[in-house]
Amino acid sequence: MRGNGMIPVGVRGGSPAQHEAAEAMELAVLADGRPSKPENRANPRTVTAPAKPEPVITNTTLVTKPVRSGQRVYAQDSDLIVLGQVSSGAEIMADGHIHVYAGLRGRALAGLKGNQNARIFCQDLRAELISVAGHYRISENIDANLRGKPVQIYLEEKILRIEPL
Amino acid sequence: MARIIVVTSGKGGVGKTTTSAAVSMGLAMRGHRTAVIDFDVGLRNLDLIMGCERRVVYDFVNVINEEANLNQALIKDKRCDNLYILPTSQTREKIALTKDGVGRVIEELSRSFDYIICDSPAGIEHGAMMAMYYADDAFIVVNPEISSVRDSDRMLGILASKSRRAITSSAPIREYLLITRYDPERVKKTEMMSVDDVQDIISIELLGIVPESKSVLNASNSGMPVVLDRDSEAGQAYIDVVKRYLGERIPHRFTDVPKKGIFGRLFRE
Repeated sequence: MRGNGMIPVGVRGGSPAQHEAAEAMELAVLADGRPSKPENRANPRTVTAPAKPEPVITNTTLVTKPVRSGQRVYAQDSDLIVLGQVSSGAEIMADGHIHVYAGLRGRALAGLKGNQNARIFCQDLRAELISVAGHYRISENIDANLRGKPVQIYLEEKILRIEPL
Repeated sequence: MARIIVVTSGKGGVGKTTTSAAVSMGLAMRGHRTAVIDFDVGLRNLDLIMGCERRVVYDFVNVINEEANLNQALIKDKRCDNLYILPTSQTREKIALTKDGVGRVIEELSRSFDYIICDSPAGIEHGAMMAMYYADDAFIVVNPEISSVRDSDRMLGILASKSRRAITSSAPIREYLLITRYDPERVKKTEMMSVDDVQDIISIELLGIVPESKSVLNASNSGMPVVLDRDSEAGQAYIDVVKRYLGERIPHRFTDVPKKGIFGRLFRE
């Protein structure tokens, strides 16, 4: 390339082995689909890491039966949709969002692995406990006006918000 | 092939054994060959409620351990030819019930009976697990109070995940609800959960409402299934339960406060 009068400044795409080879030649490893910034040259690795998007949850776990007291449902790396009621004493968990299309009386924990963008949607909020990415609220601290209402629950500035739908 | 019914609840003292006795007698009186098994090893009660406690020679555990055969242990009811009772052991522990042993006994009974009623012990431990494992149908007995409702909800979860039908991914157990010790007067005063309150949480097919009644205790004490007491409301309620289970569509009774007659109204003030 250099023989042809061109000066390569970085590479985009390719395998990790190729990235290593590029670094050895002092070429920048550029994030996919994004123009590199000048500081990329200094330490390309640390820049590519945060540029990685949050793992996008594309799977969905569907539960059509009621989740009874004492049962646990965990939707790993997935969203969770529950069509039946979730009884008091039951526990539903998901790494992604949670949707409940009947009474939610048990515990619901969304974003179990720390996804702060996860939300809980439910038609009839009577939960014992709700949590998004570890930020939780118990039944006692849920506004009484929201009980029995359809709501969504999400994190805003690390504060759990419950909003009527 | 027999239909296997488990009568269960999670919580104790709600009326499982009373229901097992009444339903088995009710089915037998309608001409179905019925066997009722007591799974409460160590706390034998069914024989008392059925009034056959003085005729027990061999029991369920003896049959499981092959110390006696089934015909030696089965007790034929004196009031109804179609009804047989398999009492349990009062001296052993629940662990005497093995999955294979119970399965063997149920299979043998299936060959000659139409219905097999399994009277479950309270709790969700081994005895209750064995009683529900082979079930085709489940009668969930619940009292209109919150702890009984939650325990029954838990039991429904176990039926849906740990029974043979759940493990082998066959058609799920058919679940039926029986609300017992119901007192419309107290429901009206909002001291007791109503049928709707219970159904809001349990939401399975309601087979019947058995009102709180002195005749239940009287019947138990005299070793007579309450279904034989046709004058009592509880007896009539159990007759309805059996009819509904067998497919008859009849309206629910005993949910409202009985209307007072003219004298009642005159002298109330």
